Amino acid sequence: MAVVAAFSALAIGSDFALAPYVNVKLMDTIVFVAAFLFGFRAGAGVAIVSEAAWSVVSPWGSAGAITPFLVAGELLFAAAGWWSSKYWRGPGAVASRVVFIGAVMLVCAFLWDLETNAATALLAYWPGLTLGKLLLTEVAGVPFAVPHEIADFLFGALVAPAAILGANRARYVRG
Amino acid sequence: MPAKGTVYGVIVVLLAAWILTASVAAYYYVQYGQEAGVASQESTAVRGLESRYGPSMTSNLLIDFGNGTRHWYNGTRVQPGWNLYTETLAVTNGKVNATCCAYGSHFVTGIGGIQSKPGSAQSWTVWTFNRTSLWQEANLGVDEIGVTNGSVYAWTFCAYDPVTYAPMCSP
Repeated sequence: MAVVAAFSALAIGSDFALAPYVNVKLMDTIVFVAAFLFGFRAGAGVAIVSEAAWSVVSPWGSAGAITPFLVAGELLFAAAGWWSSKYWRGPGAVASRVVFIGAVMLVCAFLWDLETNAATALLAYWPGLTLGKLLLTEVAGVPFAVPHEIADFLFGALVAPAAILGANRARYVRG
Repeated sequence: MPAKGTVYGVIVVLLAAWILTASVAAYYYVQYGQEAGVASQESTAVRGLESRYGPSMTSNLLIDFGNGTRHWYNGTRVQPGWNLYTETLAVTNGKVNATCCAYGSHFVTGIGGIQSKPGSAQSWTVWTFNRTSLWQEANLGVDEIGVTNGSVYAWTFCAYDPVTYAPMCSP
């Protein structure tokens, strides 16, 4: 509970700090790190709490009906963090695999954008949604997806390994 | 044999590279589509203007540099709304020096590198042409001379009378 509360507060605070930069978010990285360090349940908790809260308090306005889809998309980062910890755990492994983690984050950002754009089309056109309209919505979201993917790659390659290493070292020092 | 984690890492990196490449390509495609759409709209607008004012308008312009060099810009394509200043800018690729706009019009001091210098008694003069009165010194500012289909104008660079300011040359 404390892990979820602390990481969620960090995620929402960073979202406010980065609000002027559209689709550049540390939240994804923070969810990933929480899941990497404390398991899928902790990461999922951070994903649900932080994304649900941000969907309401965002200075850009409330997300409304798309909120469940945003939260579901954020769970991808929790799953990715947990999965990555199975193979790339340990200080040495993390340091040598920064590109791997960045790449995982980029793939997750792509899937998040794909899923949330599909949800946008679903909400906008239901019940008259067609494949053409779905593709049109996906294509219209591309200019927003590219900075999201690049930012998540950079945060994943730079911030996530540093946070994981720092947390591991703190655990080691505390014994 | 590489560790399972390394294999997964390489796969993820390749997948990410493919996604990033595809995303950037799609981004370019979207931008291109938007630009093409705008270009198409503007093209339609220009065609509309041409259908209203004629398929194309051409004008003839002479520039006499006063040093033995004379250029005729015959059949210059002009657009509705252009004036002689615009046309001069177009045919010289912008090589026009002018001050703006003491009497509601540009005052041209140089064309194509030939410049009237302060204190010298040489300047650029605009001429209009018609079949009855032939060449006449223009009595309007260069921005006020509309360019129409078949219009003929000239610029000359030569000395002028210090009393009457009449140019001492003609096209």
